[in-house]
Amino acid sequence: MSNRVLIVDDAIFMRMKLKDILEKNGFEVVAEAQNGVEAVEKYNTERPDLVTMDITMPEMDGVAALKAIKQLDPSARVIMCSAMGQQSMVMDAIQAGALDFIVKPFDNDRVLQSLNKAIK
Amino acid sequence: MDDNNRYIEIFFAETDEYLQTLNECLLELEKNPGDGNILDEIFRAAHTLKGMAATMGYNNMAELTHHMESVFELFRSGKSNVDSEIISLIFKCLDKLSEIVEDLREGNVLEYDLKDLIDALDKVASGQSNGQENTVVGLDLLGDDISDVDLMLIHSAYEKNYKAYSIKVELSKDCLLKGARAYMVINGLDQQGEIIQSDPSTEVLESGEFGNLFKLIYITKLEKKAVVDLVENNLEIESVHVEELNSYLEPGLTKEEKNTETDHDKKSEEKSASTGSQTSHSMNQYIRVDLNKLDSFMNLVSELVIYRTRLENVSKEEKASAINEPLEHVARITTELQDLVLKIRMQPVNVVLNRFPRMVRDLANELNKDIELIIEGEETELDRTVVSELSEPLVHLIRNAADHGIETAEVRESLGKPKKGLIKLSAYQEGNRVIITIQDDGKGLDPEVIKESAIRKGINVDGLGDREIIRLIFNQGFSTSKEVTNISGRGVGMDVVRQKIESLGGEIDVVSQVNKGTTFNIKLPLTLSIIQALMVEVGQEIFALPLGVIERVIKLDQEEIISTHGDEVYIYKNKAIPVIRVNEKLNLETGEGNKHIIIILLGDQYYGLIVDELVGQQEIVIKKLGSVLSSMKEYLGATILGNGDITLILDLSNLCSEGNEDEI
Repeated sequence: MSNRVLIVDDAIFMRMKLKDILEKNGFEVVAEAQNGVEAVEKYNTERPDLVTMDITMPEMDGVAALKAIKQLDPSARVIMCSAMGQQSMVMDAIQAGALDFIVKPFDNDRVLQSLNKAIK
Repeated sequence: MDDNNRYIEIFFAETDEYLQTLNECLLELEKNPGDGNILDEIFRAAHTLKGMAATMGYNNMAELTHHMESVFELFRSGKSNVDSEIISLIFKCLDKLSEIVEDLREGNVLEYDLKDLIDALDKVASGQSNGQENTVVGLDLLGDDISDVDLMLIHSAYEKNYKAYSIKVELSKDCLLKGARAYMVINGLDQQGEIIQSDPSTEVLESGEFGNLFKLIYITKLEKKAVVDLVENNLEIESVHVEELNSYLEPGLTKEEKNTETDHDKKSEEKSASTGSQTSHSMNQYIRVDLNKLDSFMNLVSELVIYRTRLENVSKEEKASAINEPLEHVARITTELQDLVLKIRMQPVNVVLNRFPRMVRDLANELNKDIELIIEGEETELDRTVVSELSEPLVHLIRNAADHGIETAEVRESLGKPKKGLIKLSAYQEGNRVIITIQDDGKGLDPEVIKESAIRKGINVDGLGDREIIRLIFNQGFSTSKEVTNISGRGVGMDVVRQKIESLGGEIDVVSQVNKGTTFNIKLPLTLSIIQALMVEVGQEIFALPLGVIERVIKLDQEEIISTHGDEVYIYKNKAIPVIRVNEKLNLETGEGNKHIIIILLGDQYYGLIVDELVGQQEIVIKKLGSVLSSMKEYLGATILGNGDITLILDLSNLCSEGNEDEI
């Protein structure tokens, strides 16, 4: 099964929450990263099947990290996590190859829908 | 969901805000049922509320909001008309939500019977949606006003074996980033064909400033089913309607529809133009600050002021002229700081006033009266503490005005008054006070009736003029009397109102004319933390008295004090008023001095305070006594004087009321 996930978010609370949702639904969270730089590093070492990527993060934001990951692995599957009001960032991310986006606060069903679609 | 506990304060604050927004917008909506911007705002607020409640795990709140949202959606899509019955229902839901929030705030997670409300909401939603299905099918797909250029494109597309589709996509109601979602749909379609037209335009779509619907004309080689799949491949899609456009290639088929479509567009343009200012208003940025932080900021600033004064004194004494210039700068800056912190603490009164339109509407419905509420000067600002305490007495006064003041339409007509009763609430600043008046054009207070009832209660009304008699309603004895309430129409809890206003350092007065109406005037200090004070000396000590209640200061002639049964009175304005010797109250030796009697007015009762010496008038910053000293009821607080001395501020109402009890 291709369901190894890398969670990228600068807030521990959000990572915990996502991890909780994912693990309860048969995903394996193989790594967590708290900024874009870490995300790219962890992606490189872990090669997860799926990445959930927060947009606003210190060091390197989610869109930049997405682009870097896409350069490493053009087939990378990345889902953006966005807060309200980051419309243009989300669109940038989709242009840069993000598969989908989910909006905070997370609705469990929606998150799962999006993730399941992404690993199909 | 325990993780969420740390956000609970923000949750409550925001929830209050959204509930208020909903209340306001609904009222607005009732006046302008077709206003799309208001609907959008309502929708947004309800939606955010639902999201927040769900995140916090408050499911009953989320559920109720969800059902309300369904109704809003009908309004927004024009499938249901806004009528006052539905609005009333939604108001009821809002009340329920407020109730739930209040319980949650107190830490009670209760079960609520929301079934009635939800059923009623569903009834509205489903009752309309039956009709909805019919209108949806194909008819309002885009394609009614295809431009010539697009028609040509479609023609040539068909020649090349392409097909043209009209696509109507409805995003799910709780879709959050509509722009990005629409963008994803369009992006997906664009990879398999070409979108030649969209409504709203792609810019609008990408900005997310649209309802949940958008329509596209799409040219592709794909079959209809494949197009549907392509769209449905995205999340948060409520429904997709795809129709091949070849029928539209025959000219003249849909003339009528074309017209309705353009009409509709025009309307929505007008709407966005007229309410543009409102949207920008809601864009204001705020941060939330704990009031305690502001209080300590204020304290620090006032301490700074004190030390500045001390420095100035030192510089004068030591003749250190070199520091005079920098000291002046310090003086200027501290003054600005002080102004600033006062301003930060200021809140516009509409924080309180904005709930009244809703209240009056409900009262009017309930009482079957026609009442208009006019609010003026809602931007007037008051100290945050005053504003938050003001709500209760104002609610009371407005309730009274609507309930007892304004007559029914029939009575009003027979009196030759306009059918619609008027309640006017205005606020304005006057010097360092804010005046709030509540005025109604109802039946007014009849002094004769009040007088009779006062006599029955054994209150002496001899020598009282009409105005004074009317003021009796503020007396405690009157408040509990059902009789007076029924006859005069007022009096319920008026003493409570008065006490509240007075505890805020304000005063209340009433003017009334039979059949013309009643006006309540409330005067409030701008802020509670800085007051004008009269400094007096009592037995070697300096005390501060709030200047607001002082009526007059008279040099005392011992012979004017009259003893009666162990109590002392002073004749002021031909009336005997109780005399309070401050030194006795505070157990201080009386000093030798130029004794003065200070006449103060608390409510409608005068008191005479005897002090040893007047020192002067000055502005002081009230500092609360710590919890250890809080049992010392004689003092409002303390202040630090320019020379660094600490002075206690007397709580006059307390000093005087104690005197009263002694008498009894």
